[in-house]
Amino acid sequence: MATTPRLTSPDKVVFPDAEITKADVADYYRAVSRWMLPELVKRPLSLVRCPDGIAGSCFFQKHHADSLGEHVGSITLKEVAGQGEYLYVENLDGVLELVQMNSLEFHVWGSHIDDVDRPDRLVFDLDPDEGIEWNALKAAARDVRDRLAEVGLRSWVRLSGGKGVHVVAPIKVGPDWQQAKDFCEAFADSMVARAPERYIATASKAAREGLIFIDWLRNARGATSVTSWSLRARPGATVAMPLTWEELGRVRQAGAFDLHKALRRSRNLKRDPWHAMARVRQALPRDI
Amino acid sequence: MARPIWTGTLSFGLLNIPVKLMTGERRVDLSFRMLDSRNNAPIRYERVNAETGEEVPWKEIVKAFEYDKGSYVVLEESDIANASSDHKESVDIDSFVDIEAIGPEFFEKPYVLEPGKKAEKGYVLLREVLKRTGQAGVGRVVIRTREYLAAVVPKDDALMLLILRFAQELVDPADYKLPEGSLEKWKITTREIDMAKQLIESMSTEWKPEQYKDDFRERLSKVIEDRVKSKNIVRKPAADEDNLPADAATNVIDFADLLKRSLEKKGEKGSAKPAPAKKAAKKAGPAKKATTARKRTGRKSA
Repeated sequence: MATTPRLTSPDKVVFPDAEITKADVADYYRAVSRWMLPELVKRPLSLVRCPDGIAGSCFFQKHHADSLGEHVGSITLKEVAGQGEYLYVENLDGVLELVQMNSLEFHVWGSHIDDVDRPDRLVFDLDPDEGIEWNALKAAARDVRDRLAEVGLRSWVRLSGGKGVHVVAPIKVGPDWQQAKDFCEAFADSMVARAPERYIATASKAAREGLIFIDWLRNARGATSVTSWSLRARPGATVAMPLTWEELGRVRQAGAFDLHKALRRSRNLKRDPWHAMARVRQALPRDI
Repeated sequence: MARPIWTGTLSFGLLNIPVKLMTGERRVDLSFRMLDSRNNAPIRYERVNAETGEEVPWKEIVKAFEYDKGSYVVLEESDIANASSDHKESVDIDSFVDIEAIGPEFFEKPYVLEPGKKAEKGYVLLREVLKRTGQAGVGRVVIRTREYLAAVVPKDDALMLLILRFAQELVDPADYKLPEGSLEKWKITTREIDMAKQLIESMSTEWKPEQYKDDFRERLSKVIEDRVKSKNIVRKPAADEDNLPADAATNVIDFADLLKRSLEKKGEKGSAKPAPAKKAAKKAGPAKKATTARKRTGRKSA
């Protein structure tokens, strides 16, 4: 690195329960950048920033500001009304500048900055109601994987670092957001139709009792999903962790990886658990 | 009364007595369920592939023998079936031996034979002759999938079937370090013998097995009872099966077909519209909006 972005108040405690400082966060992102950057770079990015650590108030930021740093890119995108400046990074320096600005979580669009209106991946976030057993959630993730495979889409799995599990299917760039979203809604509806005792496809909290919400709403223009290896701004400093499907079987919870475990994994990892995703060319199914 | 394990025959020579094999023991162990202490949810076992970590369905599970560390030979169902005898639901007595000759170490598990329909006469005949001669019938019995060595012995009004251990299953006591030899060799005096005899006589009593109770079990039962009374209990959640929607059994529907239908429905609504247009359409087209709204509420109530 030619210039290491400066880091002020490195000793500020960000995760009080886990005794993790701002410098630890920066070191973490530096250490895992090899695995994290491929998914993160050149996608419109939203941040969760916690200026006073997770004990203070955190906020979600999707718009660019010059104060974020010189390596943080800006892209003008149209919004429902008018347009807005969105942000993205291209390298580790951009990430570290955002860490300097107290960013903890990184959430990306399902499309790249050079073609924002055409998604290159679908994300299903399986969000369990209280009381759903972890094994049931794992089974649901495998169910989504198998049903996607049935319609010709190979998918990968990620622990959200919170309660849920993401199933991510790359698609060949082509369809617009509306088409992707329609497919994802139809897919989630079909999952529900098949097993209404297990799944629900509406965000309504009230109707969710005892069910797993198959959140397809992330597959819309402007919607984001937490990126792999991002820390979560919650107690324990958990991490959104991409896994192989085989590894999922051995994991005990969606927050199984904290910062320390993620660092260890990063050191020992031989290759990206999602490495095969880059080579996959699969089109969004239109005629089934 | 309990159901028979099987209904078959007891045979020796050319004689057959229809019998029912009934269990002869009662399991009184208190069994425990394991819960996760954090939320008291029952713990479930999963059969997972040790390599991939994926759950393995029963139909994919085969039996294998580990003939060397890490090396297995897979056995087909038919291999196991071939190895087990073709004796089906019968006790085949092949010899009669002096009942006293069978050491207590051989007896493993008791069953009771009940006479089958109209088989009482043969049953009583065998029972009484065994009593008079002090003999036990020894033979083979198949219980579930395995063949066992067994002795048929009379006891009051019953013929008991006692599973015997095979000799190879017993450790020869001589394998252990035991003091050999006579009283003289160990310099035991007549006086010592008399004293020991007296002591034993003073403690002699009639064998009344009912006198002996499993104290641990009783104490444990008491503890459990107290716990339940003190309300330290985990309530059974409402059975999920009861609130299943009526169409829960739709698992059999082909998924691709479902998805196709669902996509078609969206096609009718008019897909491929950019997001802002959809927003506008919602404002402008009340008919379209109505469909959407109906669909949503419908799902919620499901």
